[in-house]
Amino acid sequence: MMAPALLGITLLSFVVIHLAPGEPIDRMTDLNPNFTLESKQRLRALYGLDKPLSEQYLEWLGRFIRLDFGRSFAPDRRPVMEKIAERLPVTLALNLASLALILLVAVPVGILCAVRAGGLFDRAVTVVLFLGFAAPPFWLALLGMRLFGVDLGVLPVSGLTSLNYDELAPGAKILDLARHLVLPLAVSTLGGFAGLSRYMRSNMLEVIRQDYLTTARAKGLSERQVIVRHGLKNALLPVITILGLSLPGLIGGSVIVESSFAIPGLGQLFYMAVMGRDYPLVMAALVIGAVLTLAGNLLADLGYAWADPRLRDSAFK
Amino acid sequence: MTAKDFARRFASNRMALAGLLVILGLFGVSLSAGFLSPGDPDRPDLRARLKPPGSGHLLGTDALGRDVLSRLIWGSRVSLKVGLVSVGLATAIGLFFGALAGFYGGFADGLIMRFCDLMLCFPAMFLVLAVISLLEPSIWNVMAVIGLTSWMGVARLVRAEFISLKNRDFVLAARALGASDARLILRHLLPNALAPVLVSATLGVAGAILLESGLSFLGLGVQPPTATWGVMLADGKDYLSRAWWLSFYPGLAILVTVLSYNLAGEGLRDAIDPRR
Repeated sequence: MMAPALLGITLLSFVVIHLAPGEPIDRMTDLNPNFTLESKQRLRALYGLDKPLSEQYLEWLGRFIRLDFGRSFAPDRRPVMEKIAERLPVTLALNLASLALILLVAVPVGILCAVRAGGLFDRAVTVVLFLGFAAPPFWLALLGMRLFGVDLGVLPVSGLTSLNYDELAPGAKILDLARHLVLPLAVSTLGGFAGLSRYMRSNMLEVIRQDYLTTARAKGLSERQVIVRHGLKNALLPVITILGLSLPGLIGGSVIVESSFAIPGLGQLFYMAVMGRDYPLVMAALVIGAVLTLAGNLLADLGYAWADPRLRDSAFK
Repeated sequence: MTAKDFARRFASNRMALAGLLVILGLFGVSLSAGFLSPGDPDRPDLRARLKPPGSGHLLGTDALGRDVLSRLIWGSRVSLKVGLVSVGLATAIGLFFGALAGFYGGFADGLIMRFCDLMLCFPAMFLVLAVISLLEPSIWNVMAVIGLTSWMGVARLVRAEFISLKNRDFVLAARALGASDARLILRHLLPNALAPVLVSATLGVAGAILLESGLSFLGLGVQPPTATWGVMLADGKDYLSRAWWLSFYPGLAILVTVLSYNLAGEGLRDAIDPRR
């Protein structure tokens, strides 16, 4: 299943970029008086744009398999893969951290809401979740910067480290990094948090109505044991899938979070590539974003099969 | 379920009703922007730069001395238009593909659904940005791109509805009477599959408005000096420490609009299917 999907992703990315009117090099040539028609032809030949699309795709795919995405159009002309490789870890770490945060907060909140559905806590949380779901992340970023960065002056508002980072002691380095991460993590977590806790709540509500919970209560188990041991496990299963599904949103959201907080990750790189019409880089980032999503979904499927004993017995033996 | 039952159930949900009223109010505001707006949204007044909210300018002025309230009011047109047009486009495409896949099944179904899965692999923001980077950023391109990249959910919904409907007695009866495929799809299946589509479209408008304002915020959506909420936020970004009102109010406007669509959408869902 992976291989055809990967092929599809590359094909679709290629088609999307080539179907759009105009050529990537137009931006370089049209406004530049030094470019004659002849030199434009030479540039097209250099980037292989003069060949038929099918041939261009196969050539590109051949290089893609070797992880060679060509060179960036940006003035530094560095290989695209190199630029991506140095930024990917930042984005991955940020997204994994916010996934972990989302899970840690959303699951207990969802359960508490479901256990006392309609109560004060449930209603208060519902209001907060609706607000969190509707608030534009870049607006939250700006508000956070103003409140914590300017008015209170307690948190840094941009980058990952302070200027004097290199001179800090190891312990202080970690603290410095953590302080820089508070706002970006808060912003990137909120949207996913809202979705997941509502989902967790409705799952749990569903489970609470099941006969086996009544059985567990009838056995004389405490309410806590009933909820945690018998309810939670069953309500958690579908969450694994939702985590996988929330990945594209997180990765896409990193464009806004990273460019708001000047964090040197893939999202910011992609944004700069789009602004600079850096075509090989846009293409590579598009493919890598989709591959990350695909990998996330695959992991979620595997996780689901592993966590569900009914599936585990057939899938892992 | 009659329309009356449905209206009563929807109206009994106070939050959903509030959402609907706010949406209607916003349409009222944007249609009568010429009346309501206290000033010209684009006229700079360099003697009144960065005035805080208060007398003369209810919500203050921006770095060029333009009235923030007027710009907000005119900006509502862009958000509402983008929401409606892009979701309309996405719904039309989703209906078309979903109906084909659900009605015919087999090869067409496999092909369309695999294509759906593929599209869903791309983070929406990445796909939209990549396409926008090749086009001139303009409101029409933004609407087209959002519409073309967000139809997959509708297609899946419609397909599922069609599959559950197509072997019901009333469809089989119509088929036995000799109804053509087109007639079966358009007259018998589609009307019965529309309810969940309406819900997803309402929620989709909220997503489209958020996406558009995000694009405009990044400078890749609607271009300045057109007043849109996203552009206003981006303009306000540079005056964060001096003039909070520049970014606060447009963000609040987006929040309220998106919230209203979400509330109305959830209310619709509950009214259509009270079991959930």
